[in-house]
Amino acid sequence: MGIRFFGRKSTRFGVPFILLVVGGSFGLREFAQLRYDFRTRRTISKEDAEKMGIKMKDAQEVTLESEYEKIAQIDTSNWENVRGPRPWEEGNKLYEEAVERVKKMETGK
Amino acid sequence: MATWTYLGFQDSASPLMEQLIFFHDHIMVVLIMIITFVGYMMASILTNSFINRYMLEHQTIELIWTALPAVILVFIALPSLRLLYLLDEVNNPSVTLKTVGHQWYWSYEYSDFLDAEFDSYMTPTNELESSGFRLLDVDNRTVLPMNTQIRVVITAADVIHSWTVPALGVKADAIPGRLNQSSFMMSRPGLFYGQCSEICGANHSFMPIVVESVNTNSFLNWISSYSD
Repeated sequence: MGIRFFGRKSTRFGVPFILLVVGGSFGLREFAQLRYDFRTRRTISKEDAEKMGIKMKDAQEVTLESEYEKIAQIDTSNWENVRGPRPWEEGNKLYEEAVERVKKMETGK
Repeated sequence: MATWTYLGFQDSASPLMEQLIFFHDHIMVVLIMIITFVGYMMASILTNSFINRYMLEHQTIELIWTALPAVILVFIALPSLRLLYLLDEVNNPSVTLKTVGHQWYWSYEYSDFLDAEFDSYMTPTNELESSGFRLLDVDNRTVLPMNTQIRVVITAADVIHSWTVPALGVKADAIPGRLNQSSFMMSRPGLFYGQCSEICGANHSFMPIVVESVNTNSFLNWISSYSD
C-alpha cells in the first residue's frame, strides 16, 4: 500500500478496469441467467392438459429412444415399386390434356 | 408459402430461421462489397492509362492485402459459429411430433397424447376449392401450438423421404429404420407449407406438408377431439 503503488498510472487505471471487468461479469450473470431459466419452461404441461380432460404421457416416457423402439417395428422391406405411365403411354392425364390443347390450337388456326 | 418464381427465403416463423436469414443477409453484404471492389479495380485498371515507373516491392500494400482477407473472414466466421452452436442448443420440448413418410403421404403421431394419429394426403387438384393452393394443400393439417418448443422425430416406412418446412428452417431426411430428430418453435400463428425433399418415386412431388400453428388452447381443443 502506499503512494508509490497507488500513485502509478498503471494502478490508477488498471485496478478499476480489472474490477469492472470481473465484477461486471458477475453482475451480467443475473441477466444471462434469463436465457437458461426461459429454456427450462414447458408451455404445455401435463397439468394443463388434465384440466381440459386430455390425458398426456409423462415427459420422461417419450424420449428419442422409446420412439425408436416403436418405429423399429415398422416393416420397411415390403414396398411396391410403382412405375408411373410415361408421357406417351396410356393413363397419363397431363400428357393427354397437353395433346388436346395442341389439337385445339391447330384447329383454331 | 412459395409462389411461382419465388427466389428468396420465405418469411420466417421461427427464431432460428430468423437468425439464419440475418446471417445470410450479413454474408451477402460482405460478398457484394468484395465483388464491387474487385470489379471496380478490374474495370479501372483496364480503362485507365496510368503508368508507375518506380514500382518496387511496396511492402505496405502487400501487408494490407494479406491481412485484410483474414480480417474479413473473421467477420464471417464469428456469426457463423455463433449460429452453428445456437442451432444445436439443448432445450426442453413440450410436444413431440412423430412423422413417418410413406409412398406417397405423411402420417403423424402426437407421441405425448394417447391415440392421436392421422394420415396427411395431398388434396388432388380436381377436388381443390378455388381458394386452395395447388399441390400444397392437404386433407389433414398438422396442428401444433405456437411459442412452444416442439421436437419432431422423423422416419420412413418404405423409401427415403425428407420432411421440411422452409418457414421454420427445418429439414431432415426420413430414412427407414432410423429416427432423426429436429427441434423448432413457431413464433406466430399461421399455415406453413413444405414439400417432400427426397426423391421417393412416382408421386414424390405430390406429398406436401402443412403445419398449422395455433394458440395453446386451440391446440388442446383439437387434440381432445382425437383423444376421445
